Amino acid sequence: MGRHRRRRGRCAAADPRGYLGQVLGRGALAVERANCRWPRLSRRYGRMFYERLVQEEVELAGVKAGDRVLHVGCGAFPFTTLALAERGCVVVGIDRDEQAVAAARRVVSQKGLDGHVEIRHGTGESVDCADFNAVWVSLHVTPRDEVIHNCLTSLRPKGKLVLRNVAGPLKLLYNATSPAAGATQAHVRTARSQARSNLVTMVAEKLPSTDKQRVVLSGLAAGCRGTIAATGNGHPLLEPLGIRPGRQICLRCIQKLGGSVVADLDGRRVAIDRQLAEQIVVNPVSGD
Amino acid sequence: MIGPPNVGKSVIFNRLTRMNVGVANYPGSTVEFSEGALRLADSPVKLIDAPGIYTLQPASEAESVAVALLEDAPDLVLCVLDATNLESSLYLLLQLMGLGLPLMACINRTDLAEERGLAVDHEYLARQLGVPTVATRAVTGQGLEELRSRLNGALSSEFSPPAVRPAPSWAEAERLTQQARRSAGRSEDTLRDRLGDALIRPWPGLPAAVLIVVLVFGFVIGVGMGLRRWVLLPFFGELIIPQLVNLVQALLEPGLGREVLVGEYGLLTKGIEWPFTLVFPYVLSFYAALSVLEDSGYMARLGALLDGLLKRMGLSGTAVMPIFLGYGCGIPALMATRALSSHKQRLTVCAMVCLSVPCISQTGAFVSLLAERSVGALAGVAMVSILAMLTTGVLASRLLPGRPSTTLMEIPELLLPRADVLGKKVWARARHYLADGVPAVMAGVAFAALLYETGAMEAVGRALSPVITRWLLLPEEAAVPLLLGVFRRELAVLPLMDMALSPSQLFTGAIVALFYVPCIAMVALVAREFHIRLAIVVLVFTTVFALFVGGLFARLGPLVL
Ligand SMILES: Nc1nc2c(ncn2[C@@H]2O[C@H](COP(=O)(O)OP(=O)(O)OP(=O)(O)O)[C@@H](O)[C@H]2O)c(=O)[nH]1
Ligand SMILES: [Mg+2]
Repeated sequence: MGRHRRRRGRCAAADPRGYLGQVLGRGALAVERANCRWPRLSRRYGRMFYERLVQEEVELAGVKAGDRVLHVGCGAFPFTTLALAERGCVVVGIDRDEQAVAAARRVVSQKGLDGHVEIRHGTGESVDCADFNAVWVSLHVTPRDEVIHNCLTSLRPKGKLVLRNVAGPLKLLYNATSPAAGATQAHVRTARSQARSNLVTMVAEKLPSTDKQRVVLSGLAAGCRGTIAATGNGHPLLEPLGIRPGRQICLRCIQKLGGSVVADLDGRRVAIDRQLAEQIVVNPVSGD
Repeated sequence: MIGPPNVGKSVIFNRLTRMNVGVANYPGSTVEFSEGALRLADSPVKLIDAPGIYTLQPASEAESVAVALLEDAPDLVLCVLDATNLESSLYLLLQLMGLGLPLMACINRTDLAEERGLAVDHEYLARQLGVPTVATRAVTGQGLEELRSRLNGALSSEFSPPAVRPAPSWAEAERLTQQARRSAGRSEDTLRDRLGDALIRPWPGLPAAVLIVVLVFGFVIGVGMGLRRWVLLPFFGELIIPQLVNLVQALLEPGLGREVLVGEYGLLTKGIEWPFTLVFPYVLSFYAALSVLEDSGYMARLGALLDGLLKRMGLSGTAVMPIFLGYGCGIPALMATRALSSHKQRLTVCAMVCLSVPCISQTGAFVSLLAERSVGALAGVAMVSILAMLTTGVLASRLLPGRPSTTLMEIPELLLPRADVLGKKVWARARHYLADGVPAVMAGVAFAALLYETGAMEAVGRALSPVITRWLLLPEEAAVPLLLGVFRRELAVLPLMDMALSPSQLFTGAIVALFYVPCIAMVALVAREFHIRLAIVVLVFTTVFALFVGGLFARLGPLVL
């Protein structure tokens, strides 16, 4: 799991969590260093852990050869950056650790990828993503919410944010990001990785800025209407019950104790779980 | 017969086949398929009522049953569409068309659509889709004759598979809906709509829910007691039983046979008195109340209101239905869990129902046992039961593997229950009790009589005395309800009535009965629906837990009562 990224000491204390996380993080750093030293090892390692994963992510995000891609948190041995470059993308990898940046630059020139890959020093909270078609954010990157916010805000419409998210027991070590995080700015899809069963890929596609005043369903006031813009993914009954993009929805009431949200779709009343309702993004319709 | 949940498939089925399968105003009332004979002009056919499905991707075990039926290559699929929610019905129809099976459609609930100012042009749909279509109102029977003749026609004509269609899409379903819709008069919020909405809003919905639950409880107990005192007790207790006793005493010499029939646990005395005068009145009053709740569509609203609470137990709003059914009888409750979306939810509800939800037979027995002696004890048992249910739910959701479920449920329209439908439902349930429950109780009583008269009971009582007298502080005879309680839940309570127990002992006995083994039929059903291992766990755990908790209450009781 996440054998790259920056130096332990620089990671925010909360993420990866706890002692176990620190040990793993240190292990990961050692593996990365070893990879820098022994190219053969790195080829094996890269193939084992990254190639299929990156392939999946590229397919899910619909990234094509020639696209400009930013990789936040590339680490000393930038596996993901290289894998993306191998697929014909023009990649910029950034890391906030100067040493990692220097090491990564060496790796890139060893591989003869200087023309396709550029490694810069920088952070996910401040980088400008306007130039890129897609942005990859690695698992270890912190502070996560700020990075996501910055990337989604600076991306152009239709630009994509690809996030690696944890599933299963790994949740003990890393904070999982809720798909609701970017829901009002982007259309979010998630898919469990086939190659790495403990990872989930989230792709957030930035929406046109005309939809500025979007809110999540549970943020509507009772009696207000809206047009559904995105529903997140998840429940098999969403579509049959009429909760599909483009449909009108009217919020009737919100139950107490974190209970469901009751909405009306073309005359049909539906009780929607609070968590589901937080992923349903609507454009409020003004008027009544 | 396939269609989305709650469109009225079961009503149509009952009307066409003259059967009486369960109908209720919430999605997921049918969880198993039922077959019935349908006489058509040309030939008799077998009609199958399936659980409702939204799409061909099943979301629960009940829905898988319906999808599996389609794989059996039926001669004709009758797709029942919902005129008020045409779009999703049409999507299902489009999906069914892709299966290449002979198909017919019927658009039901046209009366409700009209009330909203909508009409559906079924001829237009028939032309567009090439599927014979009729419009019906199942509750009044309108359109069913035409449906019958069209079914006959479709079954006797040669079926030509429809042209290959593009994969069904929501866009197509939306387009068809727009085009088939005709407006019919004005649409306005009816009183039903407004009342229905008020009942789901926390205010005034929550206070109303408390009021409704209290009213239902009062109705069940009050009407049950009334029925007992004014109708059933005079009839059985004063008319039938004394006659039978006289008859037996005239015909039989004193001896084992006579004692079994009219002795301490006489088959013709207790065997009739218990089921008919102590339990049956509450069965009637409970199912009258439950049927009103079910048919009005209030249950789903209660589910939505309590969703936050249920969430703490890892359950979704839909779990209210099986839990409520459990207060009637555990068997339909366990069956109804099939409509829940995850195995974890099914197990949680199963644990709650098996351990701490008393069925109406047992509740009736509690009332008979406690109401006249100590109302406080009755209230205490009710409190313990509710607390135990909540605790079981919370613990089960923590301990069982799997993710908590997310609620997404359709809330049916509030409908005025029809008297004839209610009558039929109560009758169906009463008949079921008379046919299944009463013989089981009588068999239990006969068994007890045999044990008692042959002296085996005393031996058992003595063998169990460390548990019963020392730990539970009850007399030795209390072994009887423990033995009989395995057969029927009420039998864990009723024998305590004639034992001259103190209030605290009554309370202990009631608590033991509450947690004790659910009846043997339920254990068997757990084995069938889940796993034999789980059934054994239920059996052992409920026994040990009931005895353990009973002992604690036996020591606490005297301090309070
Ligand atoms: N007004 C009106 N109500 C109807 C009509 N058909 C059915 N209903 C009501 O709709 C409710 C549901 O009927 P059911 O027959 O249980 O529905 P179902 O399709 O079998 O439902 P599931 O078994 O849950 O899939 C009942 O309360 C009926 O009284 C109709 O044509 N008009
Ligand atoms: Mg049904």
